Amino acid sequence: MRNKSFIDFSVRLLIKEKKDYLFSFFIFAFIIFIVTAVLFISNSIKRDLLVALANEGQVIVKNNKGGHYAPLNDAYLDALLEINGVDDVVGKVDGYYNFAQDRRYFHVVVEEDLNDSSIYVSEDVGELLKKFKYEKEFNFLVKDTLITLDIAKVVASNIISNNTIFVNEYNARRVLEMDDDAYSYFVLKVPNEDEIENIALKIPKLYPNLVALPDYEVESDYDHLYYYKGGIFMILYIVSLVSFFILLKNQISSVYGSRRKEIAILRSIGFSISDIILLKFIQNSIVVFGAYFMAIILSYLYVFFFDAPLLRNIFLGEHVTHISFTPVVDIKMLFLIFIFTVIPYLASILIPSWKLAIEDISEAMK
Amino acid sequence: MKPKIAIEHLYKIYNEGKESEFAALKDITLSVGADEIIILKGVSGSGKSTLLSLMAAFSKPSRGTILIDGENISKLPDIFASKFRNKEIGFIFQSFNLIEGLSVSENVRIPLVLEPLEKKEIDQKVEKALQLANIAHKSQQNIADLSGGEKQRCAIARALVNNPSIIFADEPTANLDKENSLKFIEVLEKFKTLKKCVVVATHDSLFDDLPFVSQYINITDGELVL
Amino acid sequence: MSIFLLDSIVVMFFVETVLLLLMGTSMFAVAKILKYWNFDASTTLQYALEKKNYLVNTIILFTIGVKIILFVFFVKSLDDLAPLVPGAMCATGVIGANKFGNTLLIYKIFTLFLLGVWVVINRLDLKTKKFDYLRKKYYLFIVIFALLGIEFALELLYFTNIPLNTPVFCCSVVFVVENLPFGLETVDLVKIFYLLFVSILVVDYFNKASLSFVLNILFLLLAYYCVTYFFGTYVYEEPNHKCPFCMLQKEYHYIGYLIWSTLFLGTYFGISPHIIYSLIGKKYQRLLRYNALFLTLFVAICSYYVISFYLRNGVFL
Ligand SMILES: Nc1ncnc2c1ncn2[C@@H]1O[C@H](COP(=O)(O)OP(=O)(O)O)[C@@H](O)[C@H]1O
Ligand SMILES: [Mg+2]
Repeated sequence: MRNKSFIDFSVRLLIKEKKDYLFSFFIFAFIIFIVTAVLFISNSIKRDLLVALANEGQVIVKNNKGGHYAPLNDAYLDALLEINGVDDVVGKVDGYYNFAQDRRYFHVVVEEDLNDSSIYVSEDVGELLKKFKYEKEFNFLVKDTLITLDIAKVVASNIISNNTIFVNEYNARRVLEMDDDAYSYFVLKVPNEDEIENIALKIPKLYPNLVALPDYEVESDYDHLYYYKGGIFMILYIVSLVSFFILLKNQISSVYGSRRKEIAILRSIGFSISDIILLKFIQNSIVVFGAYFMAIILSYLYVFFFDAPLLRNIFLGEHVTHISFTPVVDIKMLFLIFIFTVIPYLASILIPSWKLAIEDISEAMK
Repeated sequence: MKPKIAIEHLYKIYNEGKESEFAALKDITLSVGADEIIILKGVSGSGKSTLLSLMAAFSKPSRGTILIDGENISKLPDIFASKFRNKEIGFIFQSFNLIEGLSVSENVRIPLVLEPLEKKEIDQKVEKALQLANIAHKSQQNIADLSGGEKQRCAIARALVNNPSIIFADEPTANLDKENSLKFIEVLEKFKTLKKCVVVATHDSLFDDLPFVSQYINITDGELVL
Repeated sequence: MSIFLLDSIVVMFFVETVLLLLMGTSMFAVAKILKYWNFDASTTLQYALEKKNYLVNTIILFTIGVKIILFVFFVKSLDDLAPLVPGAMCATGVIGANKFGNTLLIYKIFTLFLLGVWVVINRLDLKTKKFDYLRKKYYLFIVIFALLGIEFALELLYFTNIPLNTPVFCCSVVFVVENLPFGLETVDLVKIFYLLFVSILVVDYFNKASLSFVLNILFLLLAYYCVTYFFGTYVYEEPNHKCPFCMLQKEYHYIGYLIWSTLFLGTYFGISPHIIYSLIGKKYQRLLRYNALFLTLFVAICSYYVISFYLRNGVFL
């Protein structure tokens, strides 16, 4: 094993020859940047979804008549309360309002703090309404009447609150044209965690048109969705990664070619083949860790400070603007990126380094 | 007394078994004592460099043995051969073979980075070698800014820094003017007082009839002429 | 939808493939070396083979480093899979999700042990002036390569067969029935555990490699049960929480990584001198020192949890 002065020397040589590594450094940093940005975005979206979910109850019950979600009524509420283990049942109102002028739907969400005459809108909705000259107030067009409500506040959009209008329950029913005893879904509070699954299984047996989802199942649905997408993305990414490594290997070989003499000098002074390989390994590790950390910091800034221009559209579609991603950095993800990028990089330099190290000393010095 | 270097029936054949087969060294037998200075004389292409590179374990012979301190260095695994080069041998090349872009002292300290030494010890050894080779005043200069003579003194300092028992020099004066060549001969005399075993390969007539040289050996077409 | 598409699984297989490719390339070199190696020859071929030797060494050393990192990543991924596999709360459920899981885990540990043995033999070989152990080292590597190929296949089988619809059993179920070895009670088990530990220290002191080999294997087995059924409950501070995996989680400060790695490293150093001796006939008892060191660390950590619980609560669980 070599000691610190060997490492110092490797670093000194690396600094002297930094030009050799510039190409691999930047290309590689770019590659890590992209993959990190994508993972930052998808983790952030997932987290927002999960946080939203955590605020909900424990079993969610919806009406699934004929494959469409239809409103539920009070009668179910009482019946569900009868089930053993269910502590409380809360009816929720939630739905979509068709904004015909722009041919799109706004998500209508209940916010209890609001009074009967005002609404909040998410940033992107606010922006859109401005275009249609709704700056202070907004007219909901329902059947043949107009409901005019004040726009009290524009709230920052995250993934969940994007495309959303907040109203109180009274207005929500009016806007969504729901009766007073109708609900979009019920949230059942089940204090004993062990019973959640049983209850979720029991409900459809009692009422075949109802769907009951334990919250962790919704959670793992999200997980599935995002893991799945993540996996497909990774597979695609491997393809580009592999082509990069071929490029890298050629580049390294040509750069190493120009260093033959220098290596032969070191060999003549007493560096063994393993020492040369170690030297190159140390240098490349520094390059690749440098690229890794730089890329991660840059993509953090890109996603969480600049809200990921361009990439955002791929994830959320063109119409989504004014989104801010909640910063989420988990060690496991950084570990994953490390394994995905740094290790193959180092693997790809082993053979070129060895080739460089075994050159005949006297030949290479000529 | 046992010789420091004992070469027996040494052959070096390039491209063996091929059409272009060429015997650069043929049946060389030779021995050098521990504090002897040997001048290896011969025209260009006679095989001097090849012989030195075999003795320094840069390459492997086709046949024969090279014993140094009783050890057959040409059969040593690379790790041992490298360690041997590092500890026992100082090599001075015709084209100096310094690493451009590094300073004089950085070049001189390279052989020491392979050893488990404290930074202070390294600095001391480097300083000592720079003094010995008369280049201490330029220690922070970049190699590219040195004259030929200074480059060689830097190379000598690097060769001496590990206090090796053997010094090889391959055409040391070929890239120097007369004044610097004479200076090298003074250095050679210094090696004698340091009790080094020295082999110089050269075709420079300045090296003829030096009083402190133990043996002049002529080599022609890969064979020793006695 | 298959669990196979999880990004961590995709990445793991990608890196495993890279490693297999690297090792596959070096297999050509190995075959050539084994076929033509003749240390006494002064031929160009022999010198080329000597140079190839360093390539293969480098590749294998790299592989081993990565394998260790991947092993940690594998265990971590199991933990992260838990929310996806219905019923699984920790890695127990995930690893027990099909019949390949436990085999794979043990198999992975086993190949790491063998790779560790290879590293030592390689070191010893590099210290000789005539490549004394070169052939044996490469025969061993061929075996390891085959084993790693099987591991890859096993891994494929395991990950493609994790059910995402049928619930699996987790630690609260799997470890509830105490099926301790030799029908022992927990208390006896713990007594033997400490007894065995002390005898290993003594054996290490007297440099008895073959005895250490036997004792360490016994100890590894016993330590597994003791950690799962006894020490673990003190880590979790719950008498009924028996699980070898939960302690890897953040709630327990990842202490499981330390507990298991000291145990595995310790036993590795305890059993390898004997294996090395029987493979290449060279005594390398120096490793027994590390056996004592790591096992002491392991026992200290485990005991710490018990003692600290007792000091705080005045009772045992
Ligand atoms: N790699 C090689 N392949 C073939 N011939 C070589 C090689 N290296 C040197 N030679 C030949 O070996 C002979 C001796 O070369 P060398 O030892 O460099 O001579 P000197 O140093 O005395 O000038 C020369 O004829 C040269 O052409
Ligand atoms: Mg020459």
